[in-house]
Amino acid sequence: MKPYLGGTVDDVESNQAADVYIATASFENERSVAATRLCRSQNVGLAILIVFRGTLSDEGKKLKQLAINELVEEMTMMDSQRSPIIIFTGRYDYGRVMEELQQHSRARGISWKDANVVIDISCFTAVQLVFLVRSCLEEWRPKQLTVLYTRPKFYESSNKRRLTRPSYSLLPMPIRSLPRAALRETHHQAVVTLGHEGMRSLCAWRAVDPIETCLIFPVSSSPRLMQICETQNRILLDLAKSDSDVVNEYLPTLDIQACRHAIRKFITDRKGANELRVTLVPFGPKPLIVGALLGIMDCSDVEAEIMYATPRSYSAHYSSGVDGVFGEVVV
Amino acid sequence: MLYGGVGTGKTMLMKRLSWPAMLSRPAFLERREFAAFYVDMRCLADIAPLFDTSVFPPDAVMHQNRQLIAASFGTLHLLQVIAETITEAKRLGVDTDGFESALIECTNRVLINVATSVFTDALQISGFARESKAMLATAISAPAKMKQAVQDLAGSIAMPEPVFRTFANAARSRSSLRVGVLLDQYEWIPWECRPLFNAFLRRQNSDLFFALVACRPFEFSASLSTGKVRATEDFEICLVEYFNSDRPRYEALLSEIISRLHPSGGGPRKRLQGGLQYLSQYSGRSVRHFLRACKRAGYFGDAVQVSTAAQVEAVSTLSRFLRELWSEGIDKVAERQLWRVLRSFVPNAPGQAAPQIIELADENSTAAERLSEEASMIMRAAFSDGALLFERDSDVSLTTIPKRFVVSPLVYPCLKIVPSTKKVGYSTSAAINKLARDVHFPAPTKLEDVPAVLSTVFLSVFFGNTPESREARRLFREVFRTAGIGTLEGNAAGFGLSPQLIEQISECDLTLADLTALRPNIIMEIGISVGLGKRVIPIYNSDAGRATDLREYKFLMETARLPYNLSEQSIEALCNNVREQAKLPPSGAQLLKVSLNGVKLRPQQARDCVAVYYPSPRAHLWTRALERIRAICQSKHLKLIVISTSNEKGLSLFEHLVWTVSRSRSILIDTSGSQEPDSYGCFALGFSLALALAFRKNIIRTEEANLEHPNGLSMWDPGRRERWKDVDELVGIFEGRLLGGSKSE
Repeated sequence: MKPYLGGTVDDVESNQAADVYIATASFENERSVAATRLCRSQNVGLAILIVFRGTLSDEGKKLKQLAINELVEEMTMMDSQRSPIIIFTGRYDYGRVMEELQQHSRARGISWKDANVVIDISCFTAVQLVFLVRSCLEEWRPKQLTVLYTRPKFYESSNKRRLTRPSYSLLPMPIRSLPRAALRETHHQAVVTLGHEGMRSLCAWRAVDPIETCLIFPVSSSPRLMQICETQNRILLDLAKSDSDVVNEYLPTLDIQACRHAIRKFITDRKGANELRVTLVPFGPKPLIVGALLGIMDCSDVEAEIMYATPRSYSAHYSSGVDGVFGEVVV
Repeated sequence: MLYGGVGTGKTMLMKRLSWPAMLSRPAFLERREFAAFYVDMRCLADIAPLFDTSVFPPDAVMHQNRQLIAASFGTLHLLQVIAETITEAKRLGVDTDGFESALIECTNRVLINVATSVFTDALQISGFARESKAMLATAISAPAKMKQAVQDLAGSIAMPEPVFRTFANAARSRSSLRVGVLLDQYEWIPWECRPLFNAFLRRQNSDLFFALVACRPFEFSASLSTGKVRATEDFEICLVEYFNSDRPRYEALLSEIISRLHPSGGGPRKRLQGGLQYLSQYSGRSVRHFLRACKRAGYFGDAVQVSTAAQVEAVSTLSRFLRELWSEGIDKVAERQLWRVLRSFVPNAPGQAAPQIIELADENSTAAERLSEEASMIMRAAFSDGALLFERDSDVSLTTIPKRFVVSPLVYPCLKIVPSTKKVGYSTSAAINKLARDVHFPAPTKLEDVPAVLSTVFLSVFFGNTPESREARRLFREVFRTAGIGTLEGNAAGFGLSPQLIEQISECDLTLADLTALRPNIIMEIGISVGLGKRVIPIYNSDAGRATDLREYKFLMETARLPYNLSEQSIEALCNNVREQAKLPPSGAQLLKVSLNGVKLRPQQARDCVAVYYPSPRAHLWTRALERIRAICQSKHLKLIVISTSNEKGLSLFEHLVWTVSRSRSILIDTSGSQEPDSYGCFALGFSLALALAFRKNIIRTEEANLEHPNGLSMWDPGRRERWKDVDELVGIFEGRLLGGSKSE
């Protein structure tokens, strides 16, 4: 991803304004609004703010309200009718989001097929992000899909302080289903984007019980962050050392394309005669989740799903500050 | 029912009993007595999101669709398995004509409404089932797609058990082999779907076919769509774990398995230093754990012999790994909860032998039944995950935790403690209950209301009395009526029509609010609608210039503001858009039941709570009055809430008003405004009137003498309106009228 200064993310692209702009409001308020602030001068056909429901502390609620207020202000300036749409939905209720996005764009006379879509992925939930990108790739096929990402300045997570309170229920969600034999064993691969929630990743990985695993370790400029990631994911990383079926890929946090290629290679190199199912365990940085998903979707003959461990509540202190806004045209 | 923990060999046994395997190696039984179809239920995990309320919140339509999709998915999977098994058997040169024709007859009967042509062989059937299953799984993305899938496919397919009965019935007349179904990995079936498959265990099926279900301990739900299946009456439970008395047989089995996996190794007794006793003891009755430990110890490597030290190290690593897994928080068991309970059974004495058998030593014999729901959940998870084991065959139960049980030997090595099967340790239900207090339970999700058919809408539109407005009114009424939607509007003339308004709005499915110009009566009607839990869809006249700024009305931003102009075509398009919008269930934020940042906005009414709202520009006047009002409330032991702006907890003014009005028994609302009544005040009046239908509330509207607009909100009951000239009068209204109930109340 390249640093984003507003306007377009790729010098080659024309200065065409977005037809659909999607952002989310979260308790990470500075991160929620940074990219939208840079886009305020654009005139977009339809601006959509997605607000996810979730259990938050009082402070978290306050921060989230600040983000909502500012985003509504900015998006009112951007929206062609000066009336952005708010979608208030559950963190995993992707069905509703997909349906509403379609309905609102239809009401404005915007066809996704010819649209230039910009999504600020910074505060999306992994499930919503995966299904939004999946729908863009497989169903709506917009003319251009650009993702924006705001990297926070500080992550407050440590071994003692974590994003989620650790009590999970596991949920596999099909991304792509293909006709497959019921009696033949399906070859099972897992792609795990590692982050600061080792227990959550381990929990989901264990439920997948894959034959082969590709771990994506996010490389960042902060040794502290990498150390936290390493400590949190100690068990999975240890497995990679002792088990040849577990591969560890070190990839820069913002490099969507490198991740996409690595995953594509991992899948195709190990694909045998059996039907293949790839499971994405998405608890790493958002750009790497997008990269991993693109890599999986590139292999058209594999089944895909995500295995998600849904937590009970989130901490309001996960990250703070803004280190930079980055963007990339992915489709 | 084969009942046993992880890695005990249930799957291996079932696969061995399934038809193709029985055909290729029939020596296992003397005669080929049956044809059993192996069904791996893990495929049902594909439809698990359907039953997760955080992914697809339940509504009436969704509830019906998810059951239909699950049932048809299960049926298609079953037909696919039978078809593929027959094809496989055919490949092995077996005469399958009887079964194939039975399957074709059955499939043509049950898929008659969805298949495009008649099936003539098993391959066609498996192909159709594969495609249809993929189609159903892909449809689990948006409610509209699911609805389509139900219309096209799922709504016309019977449930799995009747379909299998049809097949078994057809097969009986064509083959002498008894038909069976082997349902493996039962625990992967979403809880809500289990009744569909439990039906296979019903006693009345035994004349047609037999069913074998493999299930982990405490993962079975006995319910059917109506009624229950009962152990011993409908089915038998067979515990497939190896007790201490079975040890020689267990070791013989392990020896045979590992010899086959590594035939060149020279046999485990020779290859493992000290024989396979150590690893078998620490496998916790699980073949899978035994093989894992062997692999870690280097059994499959090049070394001539695996030393005792390597075996001890491998067991220790496996124990540490399992400790991490047992520490995970899964489903309703919080992180470390399970491990804490396990740890409480093992005394902290490194190097010493610790009891492996635990007895719940409460005073009476039903100690295990005194476990709290949370504790019981943890104990069940421990049995299901193989951390706890049954001690005796007679302890096996589908629901009750036994009074005595065995802690897996794999719990001990990571603690550097040696387990002893001869020692008995004691715990109590109370101690486990205490450790289980932090278990989280999700709150049940409420059903959102979506009208099945949109029948009536309330028009909150300012038509006025000009000829153009009359035309607009006629157009709206006729176009909506042609579309089969009735319209109502607050057209009862004169003062005080609010009761009629409330009645009309409550009769409608939703309100169309014209925001072209935000008039006080429209804002009050929005307040009434929200108070009655009716969805508000904002519309605006696109010919009237720039639309109203809705930044303050964030709760209305969830629905796109729908444009119209006074042409028939445009109102027809509006009507269609409204119909589309109405299909989506309204969110809690849209109905102001919850704020955008997640605060619940409808607290319970408190008898001693009094609220005052005044427009923020009037603060200078109200500040003086409030001092005296506070003193009055204090003397009467009342809690006063004053609102004029958004609150410090991040609620917007609308959200704050909703919270306060819901909470308060008596509400004083100042609507003084320079041009027209204050819009927030109008909203609060409407909202409080709607709530007053269900809760007793005293609501008074006040206006300052020189800023009053009695006609600006003509529907408000004049008997509930007071004007004031100075602070003394204002305080008098508060004390005399609002609290004292004097004058016209």
